[in-house]
Amino acid sequence: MPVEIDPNPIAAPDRQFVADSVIDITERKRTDERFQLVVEAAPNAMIMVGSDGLIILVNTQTEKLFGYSRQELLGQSMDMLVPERFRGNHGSHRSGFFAAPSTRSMGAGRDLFGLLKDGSEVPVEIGLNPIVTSDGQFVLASVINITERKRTEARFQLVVEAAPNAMIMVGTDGLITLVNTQTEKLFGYSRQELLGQSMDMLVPERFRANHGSHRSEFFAAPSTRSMGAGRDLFGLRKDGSEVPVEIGLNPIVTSDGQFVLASVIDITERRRTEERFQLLVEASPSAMIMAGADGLITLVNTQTEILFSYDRSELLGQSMEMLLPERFRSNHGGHFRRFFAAPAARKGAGRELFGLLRDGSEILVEISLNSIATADGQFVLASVIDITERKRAQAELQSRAAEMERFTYTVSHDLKSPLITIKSYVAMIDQDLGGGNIDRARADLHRVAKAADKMNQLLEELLSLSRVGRVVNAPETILVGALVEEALELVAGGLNNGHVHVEVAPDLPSVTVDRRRIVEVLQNLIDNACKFMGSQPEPQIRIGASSDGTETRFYVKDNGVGVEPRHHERIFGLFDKLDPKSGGSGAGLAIVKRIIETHGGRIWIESPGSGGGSTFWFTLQALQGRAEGKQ
Amino acid sequence: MITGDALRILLVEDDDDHAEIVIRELANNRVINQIHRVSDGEAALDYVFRRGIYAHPAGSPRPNVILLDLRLPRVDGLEVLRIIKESAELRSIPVVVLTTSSAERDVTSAYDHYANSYLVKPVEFNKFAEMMNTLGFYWLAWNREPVDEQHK
Repeated sequence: MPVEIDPNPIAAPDRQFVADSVIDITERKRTDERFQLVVEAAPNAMIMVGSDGLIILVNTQTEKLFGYSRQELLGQSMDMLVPERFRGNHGSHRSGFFAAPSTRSMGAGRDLFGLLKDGSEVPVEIGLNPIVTSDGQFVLASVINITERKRTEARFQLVVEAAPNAMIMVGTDGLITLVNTQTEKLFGYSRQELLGQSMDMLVPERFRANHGSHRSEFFAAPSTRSMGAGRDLFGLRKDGSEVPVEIGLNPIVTSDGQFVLASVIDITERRRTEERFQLLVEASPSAMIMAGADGLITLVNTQTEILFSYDRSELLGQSMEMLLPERFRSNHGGHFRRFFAAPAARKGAGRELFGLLRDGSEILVEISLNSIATADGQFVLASVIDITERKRAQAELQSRAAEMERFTYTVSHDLKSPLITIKSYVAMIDQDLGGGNIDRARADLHRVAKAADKMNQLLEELLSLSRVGRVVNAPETILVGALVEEALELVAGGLNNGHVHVEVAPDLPSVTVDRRRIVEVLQNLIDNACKFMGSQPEPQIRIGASSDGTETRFYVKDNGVGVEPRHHERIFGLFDKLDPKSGGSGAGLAIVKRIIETHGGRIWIESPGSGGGSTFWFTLQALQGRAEGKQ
Repeated sequence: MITGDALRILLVEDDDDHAEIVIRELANNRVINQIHRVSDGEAALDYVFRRGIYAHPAGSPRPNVILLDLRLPRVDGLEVLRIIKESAELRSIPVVVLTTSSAERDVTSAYDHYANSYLVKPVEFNKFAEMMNTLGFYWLAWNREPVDEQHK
């Protein structure tokens, strides 16, 4: 039985006694042993030191860490394990601890080092626990070798330092714990000015209000992602200026808790390039549409909005195929994929391409494709030009050229004819006057006069023809019925003489046209019908319209001699008369055709031929320009 | 050299005044001839194919030469030429195109349709008269026709 014996001398008058107090310390011993076992089993070096600074207890880990044996340490001053440069303050620190003992870590942020037997130093972390026993107050120091941790930390800092971007590590409290040189460069602050400060100092004031809650959200569900998701981000420099940035966030968990490592990229240059690109696209005179490999529109310019009548917001993010007539969509996917498989600038070679406008109508377009590789992937930039007008102008030019050729030919032929007549008969009259053949000379003079009249008439009609399309009267919106009435008045004489019955359909629609010209058309057609009544005992002209839903066709129908099918084209030619005995020069229908064509319409004849009557059909398109509402 | 036979000419001309010039000048130059004039393409074809009012051979003797204008009512001059030259019976009849048109297109298509000659009516009367004189003389005095055809 372990005992503690405390001898107490007792003085009596005759003799001296010693009264031994014997205390059973079995229980205390057991506690001590248990404590030593715990200390021994600890994974760290454990050192117990008294208030006098002497070591009373160490464990095997302590021997291992410092290289001393237990015997060399026990009873020695703690200071032997402290590098000399720290010893001066160590005593007072210890006194401070014993004055207000509490469990805490030593050093508070400072780097601590242990001194090994071989004189080398090792970075350590030390936890202090006060222990009070019946023998007095002690401190139990737990010493952890953090060499490995320090190495990892140093490596991490090197990596961060070496990163090409600004890297900033921030704790859940929003305070900056780490920055690299790039951060100093980007924001203009020195490292010292940043560490320990709130991250908010790098955020423009207008964004600060939300920044805290964003950070809390991040820490609540940390994941590697980019900040801002589509929003434009800015950093605030020391000089107060702002810099557009892109920020990537990485959560980092350390023994010290959770952190976020923010990688900040200055995108000023990229922004500038992007802006320049957008300006360029915007400035283009053609519609420009950019789409990704997924076929979705990522960029359009104002010309695109104008051309297709869509608002930018209606196009962005939508499939490019919305601008394509439905019948081309099934093939478009294949073309699109092939382009991305081998992207190269190209034009829609030779094919006529169509664009689909918002209102469902189609336009002829020419499309050039350019491949653009960006950091976000491959894109196609399509430049779309509306060539409807160009095509129309080309067709018109061709038709004009053909007409000009016919015109020159006709003029050379038809004007030469009366000229030959005049010159020949004048010469013959001259001979006849010499030879006394006065009668024939007088008859020939009549031929000369007639030929001159004919020339005059031809010239008049040529002029009239050339005026069509050149002299344009302001378009008027007017009822066709009113135009017919006007025309009928002009040909009233011919109608009366031929006893022609005219029937005009009621409710003819209104049109927007060059009024005088269309009256001229109707006048010519009615006049023509009168002229070619032949021997019809009940001459009749019917004027009306029929609509098939897409267009309105007007007609002037007679029951006269008709025109044989093989002449159906020829009658609209200049001075092409089928019947030499009929009046006029033959320019009438050529003029009519020209007027109808300047109104964007067509004219044609239906007639079975001799005796079957004729129906002249024509269509009209509303003239562009401000219509004067007159009815 | 001048034979006793008259030159039978079919004149296809829609312009009355021009027809009269041709007729007068051919007569003036004492080229013995019989001219039959028709004023449109359809009448010309009726004559050579002896149809309609020309059904009786006596009224439509086979011409030695045809003077053909190009721009004609009803049936165009080129069409008349094409039909005649496609007819085995008629194709040996010389067809002289006589027109106001000097357009290259017309000259080319006339020869493409086997016209035998292409004449442009001169604006100067002296030249027109001379042309008619030469033409009459040439076809009457110098030109020889295939014997077989003459007996058809």
